[in-house]
Amino acid sequence: MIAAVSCVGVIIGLFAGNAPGWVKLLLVAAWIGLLVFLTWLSLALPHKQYLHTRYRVDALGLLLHRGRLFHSELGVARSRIQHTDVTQGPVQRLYGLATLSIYTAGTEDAQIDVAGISFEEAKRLRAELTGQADDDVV
Amino acid sequence: MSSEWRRLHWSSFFFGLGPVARTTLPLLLLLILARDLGWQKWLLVGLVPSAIAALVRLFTQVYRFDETALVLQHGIVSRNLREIPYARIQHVELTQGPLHRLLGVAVVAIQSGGNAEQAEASLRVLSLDAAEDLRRRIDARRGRPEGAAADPGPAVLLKLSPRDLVFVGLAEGRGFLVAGGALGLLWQAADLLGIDMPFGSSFGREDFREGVRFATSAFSSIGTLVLEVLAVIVLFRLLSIAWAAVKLHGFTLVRDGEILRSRYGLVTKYSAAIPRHRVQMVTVIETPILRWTGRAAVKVQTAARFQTEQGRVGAEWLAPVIVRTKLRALVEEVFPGIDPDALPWRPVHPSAWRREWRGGLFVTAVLALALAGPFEWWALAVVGFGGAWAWLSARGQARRFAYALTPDAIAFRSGWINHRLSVVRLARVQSVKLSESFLDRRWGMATVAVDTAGSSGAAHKVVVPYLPRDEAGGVLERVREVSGTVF
Repeated sequence: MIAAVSCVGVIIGLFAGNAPGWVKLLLVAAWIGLLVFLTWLSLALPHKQYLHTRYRVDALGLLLHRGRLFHSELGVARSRIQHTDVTQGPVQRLYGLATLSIYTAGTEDAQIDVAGISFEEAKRLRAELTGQADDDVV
Repeated sequence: MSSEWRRLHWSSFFFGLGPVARTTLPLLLLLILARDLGWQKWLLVGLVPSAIAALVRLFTQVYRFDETALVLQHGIVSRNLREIPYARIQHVELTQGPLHRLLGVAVVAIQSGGNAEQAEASLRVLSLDAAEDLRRRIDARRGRPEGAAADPGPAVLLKLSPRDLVFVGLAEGRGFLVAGGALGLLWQAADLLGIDMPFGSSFGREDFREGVRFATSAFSSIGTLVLEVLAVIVLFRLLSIAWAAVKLHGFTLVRDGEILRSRYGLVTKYSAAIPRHRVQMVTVIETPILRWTGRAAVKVQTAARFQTEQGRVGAEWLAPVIVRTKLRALVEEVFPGIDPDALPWRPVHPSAWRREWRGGLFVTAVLALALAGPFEWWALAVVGFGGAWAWLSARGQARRFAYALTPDAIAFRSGWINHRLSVVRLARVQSVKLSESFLDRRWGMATVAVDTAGSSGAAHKVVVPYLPRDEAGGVLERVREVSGTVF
């Protein structure tokens, strides 16, 4: 995101070299506007995404609801799950969170990520979906 | 007990050089013969790594037939040993390009079962005898799959005559590709030999103006303009027929037990094996020319991706052209019980055409604004014509959009000029997605898409837009229900 903003800045700089003063001013203002908007987006968007993500496991498998502006409901049957990953990044580990990735043999949605759930919940969800009781391992 | 190791054919060195080296090498040889090596001689240095790699492969790639598996080994520094059990080998494919045929060799691709990404090996290249021998041995050892005991032997399902290929050429419209390729070659050759071509390597603004002036001066009247346009269209269609005649020469589709095999090509021979139970989607294509002559074309998408000389493809022709009345029987071969002419079609949202029209109007407006600069008031004509066309196309498109749910399949059709219809077995659905953008929400619509294995980007897919929201929810539930319980 930051890289994109800097790139736009450089491009503006290149093209505005011999433009009249007020055009330059306008461009710089637009650039700052973009910067503010993107910063807001990167801070507020994850929260919005989080608020609109819901999932449910029923007899048929997983149903994952995501998004508001671009809402989607994705259904994966248990029998279609090839394998699963539970991953934790460094920041996620700090907060005890994890991402559950579900892989199907499909193409467009071959990897389905359920992000921002607790590590325990990720393991529970995985066990529920792949049908192996968690206490098997213990 | 294991048999002895076998090696590749000596010409593997040349075929192992890689595509870049293979195309530059003849050129370099030509230059050397002409004793006119300029900076190009340095290209030879660039070829050294691939030459070494090709040599290493030639001398280290070996294979042998074990009791239960085909064993392949290559490499010196890191030795790679791969075992492919005969029972898991789906099919063995031999591919021959023109050069291969000259040398009597073939590329052998071994396709094993399981995932598309799983074990799969190619031997590049074996002498034709060795390749046939390998195929025979594998066929003998892997045995027949269960239930194929009463196999009636290969049966020809479709054989295209030259006349059929004329229809394919007309329908496919590949003339632009052929013309473009030919021009590209011509320019490159001219550049190399130092001949000055019009619009050659330094195509600039001046050339463009010159071209426009030339083109407009030739149109002395509307009559000649129309004639010229017609001539160009006819020429491109003729080129397209030539393309089809070469590419699809002698197309035959054969059923061999559980596998459908297609074979075609004049210069480069293609052969594809389509395991029937791995077909994911069937697409029926009807361009206007095919429709008017009572014909259709059929493509299938399989989970296995075929290794061909041209790269990996997931979609294969089942029939580049087939008489419409025989379509049902052909589809029956891969999707038993599904009749593409008797699907219970359901229309999309009644307002779908309004959305399509708005989209078209938007494009027209942008186009008109862009053209307003150079053409001034003529841009208004664009608005009129574009608007009318957008309306027509929106009406046609929306009428054509439809989906069908049968107990075990989902189908989607689209395209008002080029009709396309795709069917997916619910047992093959990997996941199903309902999406609803903010625009969809305003109209009370949603899109339902099903995901299958091995679908390629450009292909027609089962993605049903503009469904009434409630109905879309029902389709989602229905697909989830069936695809989650059948295999």
